Amino acid sequence: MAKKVLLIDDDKNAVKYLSVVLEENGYETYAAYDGREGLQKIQELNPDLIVLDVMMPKKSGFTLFKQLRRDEQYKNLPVLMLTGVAGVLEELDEESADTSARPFDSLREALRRTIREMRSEGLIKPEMFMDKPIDSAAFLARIQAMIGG
Amino acid sequence: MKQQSHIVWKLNVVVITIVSLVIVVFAWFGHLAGEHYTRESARQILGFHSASIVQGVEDLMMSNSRDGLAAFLEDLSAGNPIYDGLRVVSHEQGQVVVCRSGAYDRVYTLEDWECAVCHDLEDPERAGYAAQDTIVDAPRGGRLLAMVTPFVNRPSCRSDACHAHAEDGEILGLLAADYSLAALDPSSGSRLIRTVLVTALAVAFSGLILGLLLRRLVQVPIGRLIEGTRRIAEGNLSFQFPAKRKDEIGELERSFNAMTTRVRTHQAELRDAMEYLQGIIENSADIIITVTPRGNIQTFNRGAEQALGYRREEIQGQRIELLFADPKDREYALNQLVHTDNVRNFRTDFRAKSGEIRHVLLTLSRLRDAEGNPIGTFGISKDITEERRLIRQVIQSKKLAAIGEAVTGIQHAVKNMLNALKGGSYLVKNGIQRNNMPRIEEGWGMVEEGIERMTTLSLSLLNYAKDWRPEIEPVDLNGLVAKIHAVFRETAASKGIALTVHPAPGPADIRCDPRLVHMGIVDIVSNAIDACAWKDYPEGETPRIVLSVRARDGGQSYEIEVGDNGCGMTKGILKNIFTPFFSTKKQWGTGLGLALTSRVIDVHGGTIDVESEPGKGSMFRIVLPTSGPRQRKESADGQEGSADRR
Repeated sequence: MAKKVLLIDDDKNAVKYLSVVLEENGYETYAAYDGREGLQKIQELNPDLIVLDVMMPKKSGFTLFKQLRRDEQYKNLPVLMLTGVAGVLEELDEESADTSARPFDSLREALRRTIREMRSEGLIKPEMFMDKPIDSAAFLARIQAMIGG
Repeated sequence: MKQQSHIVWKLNVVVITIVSLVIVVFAWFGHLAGEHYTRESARQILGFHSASIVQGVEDLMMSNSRDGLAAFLEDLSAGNPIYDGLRVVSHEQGQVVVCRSGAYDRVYTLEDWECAVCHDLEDPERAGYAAQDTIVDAPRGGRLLAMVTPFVNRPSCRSDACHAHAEDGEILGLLAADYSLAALDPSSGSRLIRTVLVTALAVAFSGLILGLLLRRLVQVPIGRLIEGTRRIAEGNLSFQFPAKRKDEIGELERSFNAMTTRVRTHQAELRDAMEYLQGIIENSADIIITVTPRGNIQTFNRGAEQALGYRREEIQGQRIELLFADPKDREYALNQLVHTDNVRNFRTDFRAKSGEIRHVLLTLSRLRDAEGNPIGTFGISKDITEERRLIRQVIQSKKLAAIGEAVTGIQHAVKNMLNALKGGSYLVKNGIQRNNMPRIEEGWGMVEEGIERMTTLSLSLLNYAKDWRPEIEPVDLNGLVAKIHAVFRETAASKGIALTVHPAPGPADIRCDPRLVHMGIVDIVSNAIDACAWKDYPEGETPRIVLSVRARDGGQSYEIEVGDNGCGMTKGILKNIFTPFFSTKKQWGTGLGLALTSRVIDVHGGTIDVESEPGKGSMFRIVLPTSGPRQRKESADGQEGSADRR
């Protein structure tokens, strides 16, 4: 039986692209376009994995993610998070990088802070993230590594 | 000590002179009075004596014996030096009848003073009977009291048988007696000598006493005062007079004590103030230099030493021009001083001893004395060399940071667009492999959209960077806002957002560039739509955006408000919304929208401000002047505007 993957992203083009990549490789895909709809679909479909965009209307990817991890039923649900903000993950690994050089960039800074916090709480691991633009082969490899094919 | 003797000596002389004069005047009056009483006594006694002689002569006349008469007079006066002459003169002929040691040949006429006793020359009939006298100088020296006593025609003279006198004459003759005053004169002379002697003694004695008194009462205390004041004058301000006397000198001493105490206090205060000021000057980090009117360096504080490398010993007295990198600068600053007494923050350069140039801000003041005469100039210079270097560094790093921001922002935008291209090209490729036409079309649409977005970004970048000028024309703001409403109403409605407009009552005509203002408002409205789409509305709340126009300041300006109840912004975001390349939008934001809008408003001489609360919504308020922008250079405006927003 095919593995069910739920793609939650407000960028319809991205959802289309990634679902074709997954369907081509035998996954069953479903789509949701904001955080609220995403939660609804999770409860409805009980997917094997969710691909979650960090920045979304209604309910951000992080909010949804934290909610899932607190929920007994979903706390082990595999999640792959997509970040639209370029370079955040690379920067996160270069802790020594001088962050004060770009004080204006509060959005990026907020995201980094959230990720760092969640990581220190043991909620997330760097391998859960993928930065856009997403390469189809790398994406597929990561999904297969997480839930098998 | 000479000085004080002098005063006492003068006082002595003055007082002794006055005392001597008084004594002399008294002595003189005493002498005159003595003389007067002696003479009067002599006159009375001798008058009585003459009367006695006349009585004797009359008795002898009765016996009609001239010889007896002569003998009587001779007997009377024999051996007595007081009688100088005794004459009995007949009234009728004026002839001397009997005399003692006198000339018989003398004939008395009415011109003689003896006759004038009774006979007035003017009125020969007037006659008197009293004895009369006068004091005359004797031919042999000394003085004589000449006395005339008349013989009165008594009844016995008329009745006697010898040579009876007629009844009609009242005066029969006279006795002219000259009494020598020699006995009196020597006595009056010796009295005068005595008086003079006593006076001289009195004067000498009083002078001595006075001198002693003056010495004790004046000379000694004044000497002490002089000694004390000399010590004070020498600078010994702690000197105090005993001030025990109760007189004026004691008062003077007390005043001196009070004075020295006050001077001492003032001196201490002055010294403190001086030290305070010197401390300020000395410890100031600024370069403080004073210059004499001739242009020589006087004061050179530690700040100056440190900044310029000269020690004050070597620079004091040197020409001030030495310090200026360009000596004309000093001339220029001094010329400014002609019109006003100080020059503030004059930018110039000093040359340090090492030859190094120090950039300074020079504040010059003219120094004046109490009368207002210039006594030099006072200059405080702030060394801004380091500051200028830092500013240059900051500007440099800001430039680098701005480039960094721009590059990161563009990279971010491009990466999102690349994602669309990547997805699109995958679909196209996959569609070709599977011969799936709809997939190819779908993928191609995504590719086109990515290209479209990139074109937009490229145009926005150009738009932001170019040096544009607004084309000002009369514009109806109500109409402009209505157009925006018409364009966005459908889009908003498709997302469940109610977009409403409140135009200003009546015409809202202003002067502006309609395309630019339209672009700015559109950007804010599309942001509002995004903010509403982003928010997860609770039950009972629906998304809405309100666009309103209203006049302000009595029509001087117009206000355009765009309010929404969308997701709102945190303070961190709010702070950066006008910063170029700052974007919270995930996919298509260029981060240039509000930066451009802010520049548009600036160019029009207007203002833009924002209030926002996360989860509650935002309110953008644009104020534009009705009369349009003032004539300014646009490019400068644009730079200022964006700088202000940072």
